[in-house]
Amino acid sequence: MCALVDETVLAREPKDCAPPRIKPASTAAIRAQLRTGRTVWCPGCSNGIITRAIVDAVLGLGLPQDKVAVFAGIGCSGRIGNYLNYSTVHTAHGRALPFATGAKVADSSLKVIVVMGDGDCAAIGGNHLIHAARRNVDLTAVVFNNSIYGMTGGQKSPTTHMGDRSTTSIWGNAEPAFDLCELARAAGATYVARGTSWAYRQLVELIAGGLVHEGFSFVEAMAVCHTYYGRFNLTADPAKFLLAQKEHAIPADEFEPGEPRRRDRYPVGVLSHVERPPYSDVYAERHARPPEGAARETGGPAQEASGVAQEAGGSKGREPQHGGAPAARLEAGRIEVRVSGSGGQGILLAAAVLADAVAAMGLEVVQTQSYGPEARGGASQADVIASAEEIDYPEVDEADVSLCLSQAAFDRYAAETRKRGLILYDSGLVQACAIPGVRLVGLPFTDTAVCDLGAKVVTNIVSLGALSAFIDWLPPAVVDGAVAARVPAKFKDLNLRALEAGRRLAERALAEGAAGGPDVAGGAGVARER
Amino acid sequence: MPQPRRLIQGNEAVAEGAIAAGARFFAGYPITPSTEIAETLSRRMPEVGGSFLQMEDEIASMGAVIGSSLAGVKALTATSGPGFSLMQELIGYAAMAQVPCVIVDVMRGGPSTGLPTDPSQGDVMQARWGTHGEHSVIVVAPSSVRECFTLTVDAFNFSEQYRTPVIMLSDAVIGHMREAVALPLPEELRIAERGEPDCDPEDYDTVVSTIDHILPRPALGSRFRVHVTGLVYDRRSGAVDTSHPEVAADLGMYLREKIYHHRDAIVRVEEVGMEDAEIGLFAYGSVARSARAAMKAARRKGIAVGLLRPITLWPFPTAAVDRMAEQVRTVIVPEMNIRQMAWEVQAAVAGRAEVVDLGRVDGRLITPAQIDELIERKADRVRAR
Ligand code: SF4
Repeated sequence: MCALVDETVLAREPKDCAPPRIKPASTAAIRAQLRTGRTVWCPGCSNGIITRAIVDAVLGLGLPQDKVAVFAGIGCSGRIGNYLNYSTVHTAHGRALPFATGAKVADSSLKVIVVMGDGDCAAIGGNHLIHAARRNVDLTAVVFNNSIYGMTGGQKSPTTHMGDRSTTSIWGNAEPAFDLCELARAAGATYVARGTSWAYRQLVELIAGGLVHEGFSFVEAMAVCHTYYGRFNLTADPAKFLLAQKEHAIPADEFEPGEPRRRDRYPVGVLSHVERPPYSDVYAERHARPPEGAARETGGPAQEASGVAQEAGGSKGREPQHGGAPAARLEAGRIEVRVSGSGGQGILLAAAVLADAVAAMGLEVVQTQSYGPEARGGASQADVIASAEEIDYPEVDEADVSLCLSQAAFDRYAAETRKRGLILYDSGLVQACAIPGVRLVGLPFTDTAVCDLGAKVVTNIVSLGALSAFIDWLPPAVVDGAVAARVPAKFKDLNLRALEAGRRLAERALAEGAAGGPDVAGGAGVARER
Repeated sequence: MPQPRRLIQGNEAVAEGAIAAGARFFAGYPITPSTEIAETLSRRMPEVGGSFLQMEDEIASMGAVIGSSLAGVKALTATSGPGFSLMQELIGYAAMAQVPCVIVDVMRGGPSTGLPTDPSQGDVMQARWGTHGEHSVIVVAPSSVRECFTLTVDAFNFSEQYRTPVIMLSDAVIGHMREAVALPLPEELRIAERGEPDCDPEDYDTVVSTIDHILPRPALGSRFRVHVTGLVYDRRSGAVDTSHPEVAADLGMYLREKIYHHRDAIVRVEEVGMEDAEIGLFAYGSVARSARAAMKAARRKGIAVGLLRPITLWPFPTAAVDRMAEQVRTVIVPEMNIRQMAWEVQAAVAGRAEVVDLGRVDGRLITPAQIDELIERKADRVRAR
């Protein structure tokens, strides 16, 4: 059973199961691929056999020595990098697969072999194993499975069987063991094989099969640790241990499907080999064409300003218009504007357009927003600070002008408006209550968007039009330009009409003297020292 | 022709800075408030022939970044506090094995999941000492969107030049704010390229890097056929050697000195109004912006306040703090943690001036008014003398 769900995986066809035939190399040829013949391994340990099998597979396939990169984990097997005369990396415990993934993706010309112990692969690095198998980067993993932690002196591992003894399970292990091949296959490995250190020729060919296969190959090499696992559970004699492997290993085709794997009976050979394009091919193919779908939006068209993520993007490719002298009033300080509402109302987009417009005036501008979980439903806010000078403190504590598009936003942010400041709110959505010293202007933004423009999604742009009318140093043409630059051509007219409708609402309010109050010409018209 | 000014977010500027610095590999795991760096690079990397990988966790991300760098491709990752903690294991590996790479930590309130969307500066000590064992590290802290770009370029240059992981400590304020900036043009940037060691492959293991001549790391798959390890190794042969204390001592001192010996070339500070200052502010990252506003306000009131803003946090700017300690009566250290850098400042000031900390851990940026109030109190005391 494979645990992956996508079509490419389900449609996969079994491949020819015969691994390449390899003629073992001479000892002299093997030596030439080693930095040293002296190892830290116990005499009789099968790590040397498996190491030689890897070299034999590399030689048998004629892989160029300079292009082979070996990544090893930590433990007895991890020391392999000291001995192989390839580019070698002794990584950290359990992390060989991520290192190897990065190297292979960065340089596809490398032939990457990953050596892990059972602790590396199934315990500390278990998560990396399943994702490497799922991702299918072209790596060949060889796991030295001796069912024990040898380097640290014989503690149990995730492949130590139920009942087995170790220095941390002297009563017998109370946990079952992983079948690593089944785990790798279920996680999506496209080539899965198991060999033993007893059957050397077979092991060489299984590893060679993995090296030839394009995609994530997983080869489990059943290893002999007579020093710990053997002595505690089977035999301290490495030769007897090897002979026992001969008895335990059953050719895969003689193993009944569904037959449980046991300590003394397990299938060997190629267990699974399927066609699936390696990660690099899929990545290259996907990136050869332009992206599709909603997630591609970064600047977010105004009409689709439905989520924070989409709105939060940048303004790449936009040519800002220079020109327009900073208004004299700005020179003494800064103007702070807050736009607030609920997630999905296009708050951030409105603020970003305003900030673009301020920048186009040649002024300094800082735009920030709250990213709280409330941004997905409750009140969210985005701020714009404009100044003729460098802006130091980047936050708004008390806004000069605050635009509130929802009741929650009004309730939360209205009080954070400075004395003699201005609050604009959507009269159809907000029950406003008086705030001493602050001028309140309610205008039907949503109604205007729905009834006059037939598009509720441009409510934010209508309100932006009204807001900009209260900022007397911001010419309408600059705001128009900022909106047009952020909107796909086909929606440009609608958005410009929305801006204009907003401006008319504001002008009417200004003409009527609205709710009356201090300096209408803008809460934003008067800059403060800060 | 200068670049046009455009509105750009701090996190996007980091991503663009990485591309400009020649990074062609990103691996990461999404985490607020750093995610925009991953999102931006998932789009930009394929455009410039680079690779983007979303890994299964931050440990794997850091592993993939090291793997890429070892293969000769400049690489970075980006994260925030919880992910930064997971990366510490392999940041130590990169320090030990001398692998150039850049780690961006956009700090948020912690510990643990903490305040995911709010700023903090709680990771300054984790950046310095987060991984186990004795090691050195270079840490830069941007305080504007423009610096998010330029310091990312510098971070890559440092990492290549000194063969070391470099950490950029941004925070939720700087990462998420947008400013109108004209980014530098490519020809205005100095980019440190990796290169190959200037020796024969046969000699590579015996040619020793010195603190003044740090050989570049040869790529995997090059004719140098290197062995890379996280174990202690003999600097002269490159071979693992864990049984000779003098070999470990030589490597340990070298790993420290190759950075500390060069601290005058690495350390960068901004000093404003320090010439006549009676009160000095020591502030970095987003808080430095509040400190600058407070300084201006104080000067308008006739109080002589200066600002020392470390741009590199580590190595610690000891020389600049020395100068400040000789000049001022009081040093105020506002930071969004509790005394993390203030202790360090106090140690460097060594009793020559009073050191006052102003900490905040509620997820809100320290305001100019908060600093102002402290300045007023200290100024009164100065006047009263
Ligand atoms: S402890 Fe076991 S696995 Fe390790 S070298 Fe000795 S026999 Fe081999």
